[in-house]
Amino acid sequence: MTHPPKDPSLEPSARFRREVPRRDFLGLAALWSFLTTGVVMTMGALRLPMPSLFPETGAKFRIGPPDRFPPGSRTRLPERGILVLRDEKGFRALDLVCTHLGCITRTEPDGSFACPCHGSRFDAEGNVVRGPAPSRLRFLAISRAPNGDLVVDRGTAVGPDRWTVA
Amino acid sequence: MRENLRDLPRAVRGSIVRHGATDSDRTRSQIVANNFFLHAQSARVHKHSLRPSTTWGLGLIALILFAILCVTGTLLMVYYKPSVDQAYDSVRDLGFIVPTGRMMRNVHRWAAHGMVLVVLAHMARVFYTGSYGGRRAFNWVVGMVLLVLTLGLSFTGYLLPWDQLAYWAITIGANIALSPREVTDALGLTATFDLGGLQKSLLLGSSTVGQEALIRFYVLHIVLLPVVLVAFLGVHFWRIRKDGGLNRPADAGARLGPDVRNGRAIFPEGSGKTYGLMALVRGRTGAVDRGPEHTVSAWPHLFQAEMLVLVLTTLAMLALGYLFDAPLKELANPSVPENPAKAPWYFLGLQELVSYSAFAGGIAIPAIAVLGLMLIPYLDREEETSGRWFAGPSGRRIAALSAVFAAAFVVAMLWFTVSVGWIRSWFPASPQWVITLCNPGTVYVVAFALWSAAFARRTRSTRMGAMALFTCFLVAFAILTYFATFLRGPNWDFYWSSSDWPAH
Amino acid sequence: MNGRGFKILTIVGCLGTLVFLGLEAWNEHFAGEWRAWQDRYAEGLPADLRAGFAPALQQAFLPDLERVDRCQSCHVGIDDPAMAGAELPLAAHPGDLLSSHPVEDFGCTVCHDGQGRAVSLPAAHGRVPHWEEPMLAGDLVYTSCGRCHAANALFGPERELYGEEEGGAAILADDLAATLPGAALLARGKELAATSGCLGCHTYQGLGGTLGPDLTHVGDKGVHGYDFSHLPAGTERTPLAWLIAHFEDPSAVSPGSVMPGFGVGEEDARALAAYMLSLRSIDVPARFRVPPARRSTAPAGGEALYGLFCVACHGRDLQSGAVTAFRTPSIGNESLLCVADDAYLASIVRNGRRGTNMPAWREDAGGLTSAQIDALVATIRAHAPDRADASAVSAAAGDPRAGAALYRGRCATCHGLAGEGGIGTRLNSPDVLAVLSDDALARTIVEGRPNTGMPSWRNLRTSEVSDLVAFLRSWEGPRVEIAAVAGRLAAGEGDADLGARIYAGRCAACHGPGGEGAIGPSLANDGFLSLVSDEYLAYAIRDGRPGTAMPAWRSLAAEDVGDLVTHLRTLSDAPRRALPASIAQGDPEHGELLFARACAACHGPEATGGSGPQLRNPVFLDHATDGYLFTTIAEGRPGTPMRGFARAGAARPDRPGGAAGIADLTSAQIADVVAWLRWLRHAPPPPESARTVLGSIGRGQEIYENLGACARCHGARGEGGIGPALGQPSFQRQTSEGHLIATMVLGREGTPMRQYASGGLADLSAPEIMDVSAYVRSLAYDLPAGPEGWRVYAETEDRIRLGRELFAGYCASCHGSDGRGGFAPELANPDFLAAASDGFLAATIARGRDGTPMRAFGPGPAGLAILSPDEVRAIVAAIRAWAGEPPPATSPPPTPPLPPSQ
Repeated sequence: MTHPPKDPSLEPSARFRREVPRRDFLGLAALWSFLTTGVVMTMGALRLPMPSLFPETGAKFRIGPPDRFPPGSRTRLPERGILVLRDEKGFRALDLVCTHLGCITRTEPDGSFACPCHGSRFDAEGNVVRGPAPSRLRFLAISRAPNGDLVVDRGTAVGPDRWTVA
Repeated sequence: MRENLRDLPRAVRGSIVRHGATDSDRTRSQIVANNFFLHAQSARVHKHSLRPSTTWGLGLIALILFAILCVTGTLLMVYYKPSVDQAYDSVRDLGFIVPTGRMMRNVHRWAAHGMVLVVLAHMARVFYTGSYGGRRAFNWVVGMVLLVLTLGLSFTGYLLPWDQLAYWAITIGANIALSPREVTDALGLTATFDLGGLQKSLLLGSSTVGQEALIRFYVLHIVLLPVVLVAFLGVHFWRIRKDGGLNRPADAGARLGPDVRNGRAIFPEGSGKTYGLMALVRGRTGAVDRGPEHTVSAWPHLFQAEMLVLVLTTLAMLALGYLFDAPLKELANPSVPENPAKAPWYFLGLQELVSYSAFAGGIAIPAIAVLGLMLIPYLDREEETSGRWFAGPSGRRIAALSAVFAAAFVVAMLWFTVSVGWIRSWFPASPQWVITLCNPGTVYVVAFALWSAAFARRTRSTRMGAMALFTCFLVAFAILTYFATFLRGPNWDFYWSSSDWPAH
Repeated sequence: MNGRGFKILTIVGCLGTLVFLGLEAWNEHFAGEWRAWQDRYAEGLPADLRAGFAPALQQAFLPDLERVDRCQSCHVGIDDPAMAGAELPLAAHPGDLLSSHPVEDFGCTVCHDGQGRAVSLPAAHGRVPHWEEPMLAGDLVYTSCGRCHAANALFGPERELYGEEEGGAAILADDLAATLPGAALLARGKELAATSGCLGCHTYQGLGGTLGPDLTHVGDKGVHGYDFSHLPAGTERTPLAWLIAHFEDPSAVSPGSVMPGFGVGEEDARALAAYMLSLRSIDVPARFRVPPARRSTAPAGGEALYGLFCVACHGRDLQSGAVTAFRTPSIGNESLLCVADDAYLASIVRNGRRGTNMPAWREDAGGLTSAQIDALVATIRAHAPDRADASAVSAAAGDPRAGAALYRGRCATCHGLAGEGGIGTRLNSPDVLAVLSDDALARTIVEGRPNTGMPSWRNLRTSEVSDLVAFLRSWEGPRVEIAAVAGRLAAGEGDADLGARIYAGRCAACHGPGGEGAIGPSLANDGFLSLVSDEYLAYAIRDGRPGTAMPAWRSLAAEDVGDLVTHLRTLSDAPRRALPASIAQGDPEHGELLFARACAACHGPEATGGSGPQLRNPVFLDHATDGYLFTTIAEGRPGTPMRGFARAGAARPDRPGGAAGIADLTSAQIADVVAWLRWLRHAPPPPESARTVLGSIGRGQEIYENLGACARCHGARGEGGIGPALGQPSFQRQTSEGHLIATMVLGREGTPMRQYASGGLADLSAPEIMDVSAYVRSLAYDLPAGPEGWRVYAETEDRIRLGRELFAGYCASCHGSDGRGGFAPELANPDFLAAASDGFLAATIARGRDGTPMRAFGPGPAGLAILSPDEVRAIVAAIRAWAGEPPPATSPPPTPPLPPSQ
């Protein structure tokens, strides 16, 4: 395998060849500072599309006073896309968003969940039964507002065995 | 195979930069010729062109500002919502929750104003160095188009923040567009041919500035005008090359002294040598007898100069943007006019004239000015002084004289109109067409025309006449702009300073 | 410039650029006070929480409130109970408002204003140029409640306007101050607004005047809605500051405003300003709205209405209001209230007065219901309380001299100094006074004659009315001394012939030429004459029978009375009988039952007379002895329908057994009846319904309209004309049956009223006169309503012309030529003329109006120009002629004035 033939025009003709002048490091410095500035500026400019706050309600939202959910009830809050479970141990909030590609799962008569998009199925506790879903449905952290209302934090998922006592 | 892998970096570099180290004029020329971004410019550039005093880099600055505007504008589009309900808030949020948002907006604003300023300056430079003659005539016209487009861009952008300032400035502008009715009404044509109405409704998409107008201005600002401007920009640059690069006096070479490289001239003067194309075209091509004498290769000489301009311009914009916030007044309120409601500064000179006759000040005179400017190269064909600032000392004197005259005349007129008044204040019943025909604006035009005509006759030089006229208009524009910006207060009354404005 | 310079400059430029980029980056990542505050907050957190706490911008995102509030970025502890009382901005929100208005649902700026999107001071608090809603703090926060809570659920004036039982969701001023202590300021402002007559000029929720701007949504007006150019220098340019300055001195802040200062102080001005700011339109989605309290139509007290609508212009004393820019008449003026009846006031309130600043308040204009308007009128009336009780007036108790003074001041201009009459009727004629009982006089004085020139002097005291009546009586000359009469008779000096002549002139008309009786009872009756004493007859002649057709002939001298009695005696030769001196004490209640059974048929259920004479008559009862009554009941009166009622043998207490009566009343029962009659002497006056009407209304009408031609003067429906309006309830109340009859019989001296009885000019028989009186009585029930009932003075061309001349001479200087008004009110004003009766005009012209430049033009001491009654009438006619259009269709007929008793 041989080198491709070099373009003769790339050969500097002896007549015009000269030393790179020593003092031209100044030019290089200029060039580099120019490039650096450009890069920094670009990086700065690219910060812009990432706002400090998104125009949306926060991850935490109230779902009302505890007595809104009688013991043993499974209350679906469609506008929030969660299911509030209350049993003797306390409250839990199940995120109905399918862990596969984010469709909202629907509740089957038997209490299990089915994702309409790609057929994932979850049992009543949110464990994957079948389908492409990589993991169980998330339980969301529940806290109390100063006035006692329940506050769900979509931002933090908790284990299925984490109850918020009534 | 292994060697190929070893050679990969070199091969890749070679495939992009198809020449060796820039150690020779040849490779330097190749850099330019083979680089998409650089080849817009000639490989070699005349030393005269490199002097700052030749152009002060104004055209380049304008280009850089336009580039800055494109970049910042695009970024701002990420957040801006062209809806009357959200526009204002989205602009406010830029300063609150968008990283660099405030900076971005400020830079965009100041760069826009800067571009208008620089474009005007560029025009003046080209005019005073007489670089519009001969082959360059058409490019001068293209430049005019670019000027108008620049103003259009700036004006359309003015509405987008949807604050009081914007709303009422645009309202005024839109009604200036309506002002041809003055004439059509006077002629009784409005019923059949309503140019003003057509213009306004096309601009606003409704009878008042509202959601429709906002969308239209948005489209104009971010798509239509930029695209058109870029197209003309291409033509502009391309013509510069085709018209023989930057203009310079015929004796520029001589003034630089003999160009000696390595002890001997490359191209002896007057040699019949030409570059290629002989087989393709009859006659001489543009480059003949423009040998590379007194030229240096654009790389690096030209480009480092351009880089400097770029850096300085950017620095200036960043500094302005960091130090001064772009204005943002109250949310637009159609029921409460700003007082005074002022157009963007570059239209304030016109607004001063508009305060007498919307048509004369807003349509007729600008049209006359732009048309006149476009026609200059065709009316003034004197080539010999081309390329020299003010065409020499006599021109310099005439320009100075005209400036003094224009300044005196305009100030006198302003004093007169402010302290004595104008037709309406003496004959309130006088019909509109009288005002339209006879108002300070028209008076200026006539006076300047006579003045420059007199010079043209005396000096027997159209160039001198043009210079006088141009100077008069430029000075008048400057003074009127200053006057309207700083000395006009609420109800367009005269005040020495805004601190005297009545409280409201 | 060489390449080297280029390069160095480039490097410098790049470094400069990097500096600015660095600065920007620093601001982006480290600057911002909210970071500092959140760090401070984190320090206070318990360890476990602090670990999880990451400083970040916070926001409440409220698309449907069109708000994004990032206040929590600094006020990070706002809903953290642990931060109660901490330093600002970390402190928790005071009070428990957040429990009902959680931040994540309501944000902050919906109540506090300010710039919620901003993340730095002072931008966030809106204290920067070009931000129109600076933050509201302290008690001003409550001005925002109106954004969601319907205004009348908060501070609207409905509570004053409408019943409290309709509270509904309303938070009313006082309990508002209780529930939200901070809102005390607003409560105060609301109270002021509700009691300062704001709605007289301003509209609130479609209610109120239109002179000033509508206040319903005044709180929405942004900073642009105000003209700050007249604020004193240094005042901040905010609506609040403007309003405060405005309430302190309106005309200074908005020149040309007629709004008065009401003399409110700094604090009240602030309260009012805050209240104004709280009146907002509701611009939030339905789920945030608090519905308004359901409106009740229950009318409020006139006092509250007056405070809401009138007090600004008319003042709390009804004399002079705070609005000095309008010349508002003082409606508290007694001389107005006595000539203006309720109908007049109601009409003015209802329809306003065009061309003046007095707006119309009827439902489709100012928005007041008729009930509310009546309540207002009542309130105005209450200002001049009715002091006189007509029924309590007694001439005997009056002091004629005091009465004379009163008369000169109040009556002389119309009735003439000597009572010779003028605009009013003649009073000094004995005949007139003879038929006018004290009661009639008193009632007329107290109630006046609405729509005539006779004002209502209800503000006089009872004693004063008594004085007046006493004075009027004084024109009848001194009362005859009965003793003197008796003396003459005893001396036998009575001259029967003279008596006969007097009888023929004065008595025959009713009692018949031969005393056989017609309208009056028969006198030539043995049973009668044998029982009565001369004194009895003399008393009857002198004092008459008030309320019946029997006048009190005071004008007769003692001799005349003597002669009359002598003549009467000649009518019967039956011997005088002695009457039982005393009878057993009876039981009135029992007597009443008996009376109803046996006597009411003829004497009327209330003993007010019918086919039989009126028994319930003070003079009669005073002089008829028990014995007389007893005997008459027992034996009846032969020759009349009066039968004897005594059971056989019980007819005479002194003589058991004896002549038999038809109805068998024991003497005890008769005594009961007598006792009841005695009791009647001091019983309260009988109800109107007790009046028994004799005669046929139908025939009466026929005579009234044709034969008697009464209609020519009194109007076809008794609406009056040259003669008084007989149909008027007041007239009906004031005149008794007998009065009507007597007047018809005797005519009215000094007036066109002629004698109509047989022997008089028009020869009406007794029954016919009864019929007419019956018809006149019936007129009360169709009293013509409205102005057409006021044509008291006929408008003839020449009279109007004369009136115009007089008007030009006397009135035009103030009222303007053509009555267009000038210094004085406009008279040619449809609304005014629709409300003012001719009498109102005449009385006002004649009497003037105390306390105003309008002086008395009538004759008499107070009179400025001595206008003759006819001239006054002419002026009235001239003014009336200006009433171009009829009164507004919407104005219901003026309700007839009610007597104080009802």
